[in-house]
Order: sequence, then C-alpha cells, then structure tokens
Amino acid sequence: MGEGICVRLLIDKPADGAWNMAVDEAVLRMTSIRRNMLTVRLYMWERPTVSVGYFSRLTEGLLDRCKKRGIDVVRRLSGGGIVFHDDEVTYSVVLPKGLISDCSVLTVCKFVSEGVIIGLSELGVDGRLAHSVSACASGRVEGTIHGALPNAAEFCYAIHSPTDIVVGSAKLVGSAQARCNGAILQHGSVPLGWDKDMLRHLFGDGVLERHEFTSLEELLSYKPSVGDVIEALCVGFERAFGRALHVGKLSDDEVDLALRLAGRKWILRCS
Amino acid sequence: MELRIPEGLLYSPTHEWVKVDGNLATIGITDFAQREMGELTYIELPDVGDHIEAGQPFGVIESVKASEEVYSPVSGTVVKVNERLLDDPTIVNQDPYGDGWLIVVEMPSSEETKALLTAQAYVEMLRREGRL
Repeated sequence: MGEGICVRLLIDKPADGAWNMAVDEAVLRMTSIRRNMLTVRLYMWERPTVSVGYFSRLTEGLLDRCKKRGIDVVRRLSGGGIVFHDDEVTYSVVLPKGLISDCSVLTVCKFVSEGVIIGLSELGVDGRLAHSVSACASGRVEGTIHGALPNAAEFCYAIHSPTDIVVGSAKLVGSAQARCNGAILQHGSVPLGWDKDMLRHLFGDGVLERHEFTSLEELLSYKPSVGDVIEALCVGFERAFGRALHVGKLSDDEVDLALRLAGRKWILRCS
Repeated sequence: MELRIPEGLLYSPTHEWVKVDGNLATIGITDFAQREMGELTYIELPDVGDHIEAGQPFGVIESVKASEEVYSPVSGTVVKVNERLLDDPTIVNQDPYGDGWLIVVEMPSSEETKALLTAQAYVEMLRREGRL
C-alpha cells in the first residue's frame, strides 16, 4: 500500500438507511477525486432496514411486507441482492484505485475481507473467504431457492458468492462493491443476531430451513456487544492494512454531498 | 489468455474503447475492464436519443456483487444501443471489441477524440500503473 496514504476511521452513530447509503456514496465520490485516503467506516442502523442492490428487483410484495412491519427500504449503489439490516455492525471500506495494483473485484474483496476475518478471529470466530474454500471459486454468483416468496431468491444470505465470509459452510458476512472512476467501495454486514420471525415474514417460511447462514450469537453462544465488534474490526483492519487507523470525521464537502444524495429519489424510505 | 488491445481503436484512461467512423463513435469497455470485473450479470445503458457528456457516466455494469459505472469518452447523442446485452451481458466478456459493443454516439465534432489514447499509449498507461 502506498506510503502517502492516510487511513481514516469513522465510527458513526446509528442512522437511517438513506443517510447511511448517502455517506458511503459521498466518501466514494470524494475519494475518487482526492485519491489520498483510505476510509474505514463502521456504522449501525437506527431502524430495521431492507437494502436493495443496484440491480435487484424491489417487488411490490416485498415493499408491502416491509410497510406492514415499519421497515425502511433503501437502494444501495453497490451490487448484490437484498439485505435485512437490523442487529448488525456494518463496515464500509473506500480505497482509491491504484492503492493496490490489481483492482479486480475478487482481489479488492480479499484485501478488504482480510481485515474482517482478522477482526472475527479476535472475537473467537474462524471465518474464511468463500472464494478460497468452496465451489464458488469460479467467480460466479451461485444459488437460488425454490418454492418460497420470489424475493427470497434475492435475499443476500440465500445466495452464496465467492465474496462471502463463511464459517464452515454457513455464510456470516455478505458484502458488495460499488466502483467508480477513481475509487472502490466495499461494504458488508456483520450480523450480531437474526430476527428469525422477521426473516420469515420478509422472505418466506423456507428461508431459514433451506439456507445456511449464521450470526455471531449463534457461533459464540452469546451475543457480543456492538462495542466489542467495532473494537475487533478496528484491530483487524489495522493489522490487515499494516497501518494505524486515525479517528476522523467527514469533511465539509462529504457532508454537503451526503445531504444532497440522501434526498435523491431512488434512495427510498417507507414510513 | 493474453490481454487484447487492438490497434486502430482509441482508448480512455477509464478503460473504454472507441471506434470512430466519421461522426459516429462506437463505444465499449476494454478487455482489461471486463477481466477486472469478471463475468457480468447486469448492464444498464442509456436510451437512444439521450445526450451524454465526455467523462461522465452513461451506464452501469454489475458482476459478482460489484457495480461499476461506465464513462463516456466523447460527448454526443446516443443513436444505437446494443440491446442484446440486456438479455446476455456476458457477451461483453466473450467479445468486448466485437459483439460486446455498448452504444453508438453521434458526435457534433470529433475534436474530443484527439484527447484519447492510441493502443500503444493505453498499453504504456497500464504498464505505468503496474497493471500489466
């Protein structure tokens, strides 16, 4: 990693989905221009929220089910499927292109996921990148389900991908990237626990039985605190990047851009 | 397989290629770009009649959970869109300089193409960036 690169750490208070996604995009856009900083951002969601990948189908059925339970819906700039964010810590890492010589999707994923994997090991969880251990090594996104609600087929944790962090064969951390001219964003969810009734409501009865995914609570037999998970991830990213993380804040132009993006039409919210 | 960078096309630093024929520019993404992304799963392109600006994004591609913007090397009006890609974006992976073309743009002038890179200059840029 280049010597002149500063590694900034942002730890944000829980916020709504539109703001969370707008900040991720603002950091991506400004990094694309400035290209002198790697940002690690850790954040939470102030209300349960469904996020939908850039190309994911948001059906009226799913939208109705979200409205019935007061769940926000937001569209992500990144690819991938549909994620239910509730009891989790979300990470995002934004790096300028050129920081590492090979910027292929999987290489960037390995670079960023290494920090998450080390962080998980600090918590006593032995995670691996699915790319290195499974039949997903071809690079194809695999997996659909049958007989459940249509959106279950796009539920991120029902799809196994080479970019997942798995424990054994169960998916623990899903991630997605958004890439623009000069920078790359990878964000992902580290679930502390799952609200299983809500998952059934959103994605159908079969979603829990047919798919292997897990949470820190299931793996550790207790639920770690948000603070412990954040601390472990910070240790992980510091070791993976070989640099100290400097606690920082959004710049004024990042805040201005995030405010404009948060009001954009395609970042939805149900109320 | 060796990276393909055909002579006779022009290239942008953001990894798009342009084939100029009079005032028409056919635009696609390079072999380097499609390899960096991996197998494409979705593609979003502008409509015929849309105006696009040089250096600005005109489309989005997605692969293995990563979305990426595609930038226009020239300004002009979109006169043709490769609709086959909407059903099968992997055509871009298989034949980025042929059947995998994205759009055709009518340029008011070919002035902007002078700022684009030749095949040799594009290779040199990739070498400088440590990507070859």
